[in-house]
Amino acid sequence: MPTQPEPFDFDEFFRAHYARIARTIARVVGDHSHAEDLAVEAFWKLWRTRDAQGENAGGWLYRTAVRLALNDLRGSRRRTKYEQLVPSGPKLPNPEEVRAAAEEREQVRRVLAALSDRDSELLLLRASGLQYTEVAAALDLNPSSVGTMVSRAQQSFRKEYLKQYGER
Amino acid sequence: MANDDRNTARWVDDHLAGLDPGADWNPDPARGLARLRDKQRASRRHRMEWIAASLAGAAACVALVLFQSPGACAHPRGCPADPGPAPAPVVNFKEAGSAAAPVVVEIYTDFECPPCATFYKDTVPQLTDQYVRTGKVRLVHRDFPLPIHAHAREAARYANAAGSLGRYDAVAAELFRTQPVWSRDGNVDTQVAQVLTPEQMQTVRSLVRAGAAADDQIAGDRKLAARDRIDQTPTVVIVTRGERHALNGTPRFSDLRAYLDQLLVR
Repeated sequence: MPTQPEPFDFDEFFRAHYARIARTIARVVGDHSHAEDLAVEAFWKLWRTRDAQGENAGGWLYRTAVRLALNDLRGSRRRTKYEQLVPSGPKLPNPEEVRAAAEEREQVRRVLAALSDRDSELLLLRASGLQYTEVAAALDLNPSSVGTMVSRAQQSFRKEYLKQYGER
Repeated sequence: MANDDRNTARWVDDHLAGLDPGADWNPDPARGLARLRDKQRASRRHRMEWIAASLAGAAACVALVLFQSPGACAHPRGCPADPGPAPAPVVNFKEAGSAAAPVVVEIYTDFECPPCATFYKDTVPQLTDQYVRTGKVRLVHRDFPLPIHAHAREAARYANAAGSLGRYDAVAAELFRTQPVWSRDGNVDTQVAQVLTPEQMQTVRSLVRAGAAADDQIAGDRKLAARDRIDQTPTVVIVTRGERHALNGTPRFSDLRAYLDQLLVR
């Protein structure tokens, strides 16, 4: 006898994944409030896409979230000009160190924005703690090839980083 | 070879690790869900409005076809007067000045940016006195919270929420005045409470918590900012004869005055 699929509990799914999705997006966009805006946007897209609300909703959501974040990053590159010029606020204990760290983060984000969508998605999902099987599900890849693809993405990242900023 | 791969993997991991948002930040699902609910409600409302408008349009077409015969309007009292488009009573709290002003000055600010506070305190009052009150210029405030400022977006939310109660100017002025305090301790709420009644504050807090309306304002301004290629604050955009010109840097009032006078005599 065929079993009925479990009904999709959207609220429960939201509560289970929201924080992790927002944190994944924050890696890319930096600003926490904006990351939460984009996280809500990702769930909003899921809510509107009935077909995605099923067994692989998690993968679909991570893919959507990372794409939203990367699109936002690429669209807001102009702002980084200002961010580079403005020193950190007086509340920070060691402005020079904090500024250097912020600059390093911006450089990493710029490199991610310059990579192909697939490479950036692979690196970000891995960095957010997803297992290879989860990455494969999110990006619709063969699980056995994810390791090789991540490795290639890492090489592309390093090459692009060194091209832009040289060896530190 | 395998060693190289391992080294690269470690090197990349180290660089990406710097993007971790930090363990002390825990996005609140309850707040996120509340904002999603707002979006869902707005979407349903929009759909209903669209359906209603479509039905009304269809009904109007049917009526036109059925009753479009000679004399259909030959009633002694005459045809009912065309009510025309309904007047738009919407007052945008972020705008000041005459809608007929030949020049619009839009100011993109970030509440946590010190040059914005200086511009707001030094230049905006003179601009308001000499150009806005005289009907020459319409002034529009736009939000452009920069990601480098941890509390800028929250401050904008408070200002916009207060705006819905008609208290935008008071809250914006207070936020710029007390910027060194709240940008250090992160307590925007306490500063805003100085210029609102407890009842107003309660409403503002609930609006800030719900997020949607205040965030829609910010998102709208950010979209325009992208179109204007804004990359710093404060930025002044002059709109005249359908064209938008973003001014480079932060103009002093004397420069702004010279620029506006030139535009106004054309």
